[in-house]
Amino acid sequence: MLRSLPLRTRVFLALAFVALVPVTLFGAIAVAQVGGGVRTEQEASVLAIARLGAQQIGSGGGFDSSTAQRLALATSKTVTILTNGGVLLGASDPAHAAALPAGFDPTAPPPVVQANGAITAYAPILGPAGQPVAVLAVSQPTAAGPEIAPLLATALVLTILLAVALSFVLARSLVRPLTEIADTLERLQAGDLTARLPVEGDDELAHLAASHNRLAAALAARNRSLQLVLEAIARLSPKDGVESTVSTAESAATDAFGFLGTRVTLGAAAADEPLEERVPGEAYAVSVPLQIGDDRVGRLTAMLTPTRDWGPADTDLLAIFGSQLAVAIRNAELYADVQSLSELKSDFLRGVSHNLQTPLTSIRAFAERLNAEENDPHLAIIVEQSQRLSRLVDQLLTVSKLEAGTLRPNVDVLALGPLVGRVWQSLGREGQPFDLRDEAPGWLVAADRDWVEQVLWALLDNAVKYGGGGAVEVGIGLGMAEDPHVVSGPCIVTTVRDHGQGVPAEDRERVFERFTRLERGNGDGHASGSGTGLGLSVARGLVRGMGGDLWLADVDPGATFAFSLPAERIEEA
Amino acid sequence: MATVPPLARILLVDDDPNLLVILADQLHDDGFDVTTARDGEEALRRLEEGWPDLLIVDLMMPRMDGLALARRVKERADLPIIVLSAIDSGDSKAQVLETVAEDYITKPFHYPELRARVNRVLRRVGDNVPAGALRLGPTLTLDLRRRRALVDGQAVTLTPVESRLLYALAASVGYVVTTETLLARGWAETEAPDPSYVWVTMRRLRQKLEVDADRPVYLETVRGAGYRLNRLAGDGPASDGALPPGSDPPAPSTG
Repeated sequence: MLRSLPLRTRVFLALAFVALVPVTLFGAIAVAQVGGGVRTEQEASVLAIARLGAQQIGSGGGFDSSTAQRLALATSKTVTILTNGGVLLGASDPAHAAALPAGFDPTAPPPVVQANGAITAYAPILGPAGQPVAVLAVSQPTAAGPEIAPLLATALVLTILLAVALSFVLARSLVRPLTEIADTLERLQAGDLTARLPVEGDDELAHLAASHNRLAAALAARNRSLQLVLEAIARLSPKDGVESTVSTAESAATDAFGFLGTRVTLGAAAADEPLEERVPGEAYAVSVPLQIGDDRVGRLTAMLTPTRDWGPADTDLLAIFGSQLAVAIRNAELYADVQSLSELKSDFLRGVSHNLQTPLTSIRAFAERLNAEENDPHLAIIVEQSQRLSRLVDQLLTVSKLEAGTLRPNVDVLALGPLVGRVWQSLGREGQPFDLRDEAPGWLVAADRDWVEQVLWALLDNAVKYGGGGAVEVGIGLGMAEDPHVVSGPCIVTTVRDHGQGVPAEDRERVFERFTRLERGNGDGHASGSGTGLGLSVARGLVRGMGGDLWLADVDPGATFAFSLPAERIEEA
Repeated sequence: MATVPPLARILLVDDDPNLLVILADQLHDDGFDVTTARDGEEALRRLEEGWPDLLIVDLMMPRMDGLALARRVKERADLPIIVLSAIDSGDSKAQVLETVAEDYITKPFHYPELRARVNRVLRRVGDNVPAGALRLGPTLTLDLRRRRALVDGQAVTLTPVESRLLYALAASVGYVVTTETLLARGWAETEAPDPSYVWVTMRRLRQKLEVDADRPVYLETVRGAGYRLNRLAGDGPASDGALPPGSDPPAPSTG
C-alpha cells in the first residue's frame, strides 16, 4: 500500500511522524506545567477564602451550620467549622464535611490538603485574645487539570509507537527498492544482462528503474551486436574472395547493428569520403573508415532509421568491426593474389609438362610401333629412355606439387608384388638378377597406384644404378609394430636391397635431400650421371603423402631402402 | 570386350600431327572408326558432319583448349569424352576435368592403357546410370559424375576405382553384379587383377558409405555370386512400400 505512494509523499510522511514525537513531548510537558500552576492558584485562593472566613467568624459569628452555610453561599465553596479537636460544629454541606487532617496544629501555618477529589484549606478561627478557638475548613473540588496528564502521556506513547512503526515501514519501503537496485546492478555487473528492475508508480525510483532497464537493454543490444559482429568476423574466410567477404560483412553489419542497409566501398579514396549531414526526421548515415593502421582499405557506410539513437559506444563497436573487416578484406586480396600466382605457376608447369611430354609421347609411340615391326634393340632403348625422360619430367612436377601441398592421393587397394614385377620389367634390366619375396600374400596395400609406381621406380632405379650389377632383392612383409617407421594400424613394409657399396654413415640422411647425388660406386657405368637427385626425395614425399614412411633400413652389405604403407587384410566381404 | 559395339566411331583431336597419325593408326588397327581433327574449331566442324561414339581430345591446344571443347560438346549432347593431358590426378585442373570428361589419360601413355580406357568408357555408356545424383536412401546419395557421395549430408570423395565399381553397381540397382564383372570394370588396365581387390575395396566402400559398416544396408554381399546395390524401401520413385532393408527392392525398369 505504501509502495503505491509516491516517494516524495513517503519521505514526507516519515519526516512528519518523526517530527510529531518532539511536538507531543513538548505539549505534554507544557500541559503538566500548566496543570501544576492551576493547582497552586486554586490552593492559594481556597486558603485566602479560609483565612478571610476565619477572621469574619472570629469577629462575631456563630460556630454553627448557618454561619457555615452563609459563608458557603458567599464563597460558593463547601465550608465546615470544627473545634480544634476536630469535632464538627457546623457544615454547609454535611455530606461533604471536611475532617481535620491528622496531626493538625492550630498554631502552625494553616495547611492545604488535597484529598477525596477536593482541595481543603484549614484556617484557625482566633478568639478575642488571639488564641485559636476553632478551625474553619474551606473545600473546593479539584480542577479538571490534573486529569489531562495521563491522557497526554497515553497520547505521547501512542504517537511515539506510531512514529516508530511508521518510520520503520517507510524506511523499509524506501530501502527495499534501493536494495533491489543494488542487487540488480550487481547481477548486471556479473554479466546477467537480463536483470531488470520492476517499474512501479511514477516516482523518482520508478524513473531510476526505468532508466536502469533502458541501460541494461542497451547493453544487451550492444552485447548481441558484438556477438553477431564476432560471429560474422569468424565467418569471413580469405578463401571466399573479396566480393564474398564484402557482401557477407554488409549483411552481417546490417543484422548486427540493425541498419537499414550497409555498403562497403573499397579503395583508399573511399576512406576519406565526407559524410552527409543528418537531416532530422530522415534516415541518416553513419560510417567508419576501414583501415589497418595507416593502410586505408575502404569505408563502411550504413543507413539508420530516423528514430534510431547512435551513441559513441555504437561508433566504437562499428569501428572494431571496421578494423576487423579491413583485415579480412586485405587477407582476401592477398589470398587472391597468392591464388592467381599459384595458378600462374600451375599453368606454367602444365605448359612445360605438355611441351615436353607431347613429343615424348610421339617418340615413344613410334619407337614402340617400329620395335614391334623390326625388333631392333636400339628401338627398345629409345622407348626405355623416352620413358625415363618423361618420368624425370614427372618427378620435377611432383616436387613442385609436393611443395605446394596440392597433391592428393587416390587411395585404392592393390597387391604390391605384381606392381613391383612390372616396374622392374619397365627398367629393362633383363640380365640383372632380381629376387622378389612376397611374405604377406594375405594383404593388400591401400595406396595410390601411380604414386607407388613412381616410388618403386625410384627405388629400383636407384638399386640398379648403385648396386654394382649385383642382384636386386625386394621383400614384401608385414610391418613390425616396434619399428619406429611403421605407422599406426597394420602396414606392409617393402624393402629394396642392392649389393653395392652401401651408403657412408655421414650421408644417411642426405640421400633424401633434394638434388643430392652421392659419390657412390655404380656398377657398369650404364646409369652414370643419369640421376636427377630427385628420386628418393620425391619417393619419400609421396610415401608420406599416403600415410607411410620411407627410410634407409640397412647399409651393409649394400643399401636397403624400405617403405611402409597402410595395409588391408584380404577377406571376402 | 563383348559389349563394345563393332566399329565404334571415335573423333580424335590433338594439335600434334605426329601423335594424331600414330594414335589414329593404332586405334584403327584395333577396330575403331577414327576421324581426326587438329584443333577445336575443326573438331566442331567434324561434329556437324556426324556424331561419333567417343571423343578423345588433347587438353592443351592452341585457340580452343580441350576443356573448352569438351564443355561446348557437352552442352549439345552427352557424348563421352576422354581427355589426354600431361597433368596428373594431383593437379587442380584434373578435378575440373573430372566433372566434364568421362576419363582422362596422362601423357605419355602406354597405348594398351589408352585402349583399355576407351573400351571401358564405351561400355559405361551402355550403363543405365542417371547423369545427376542417385538417391539410394536417407543417408546415401551417389553423385558419380563428380566422383563423390553424400553420406548423412557429408560429401565423401570417391577414388576412380570406387566410382567405377559404383557405376557398375548403380547400373543395375537391386540386382547382383558378379565379382568378375566388378573386377573387370574396376581394374581393366591393371596387371594381375585379383578378386581380393573387389573384396577389400567393397569393405572400404562400406566404411565410407554405410552408417554401420558391419551391418551394410546399401552395399550387400550375395554369397557366392557378387554384390548388390540397394535402394532403400520408402525412398526414391521406384519404391512401392515399406520393405525391410536388405530384402529385394522393387525391380527397376531394365531398359
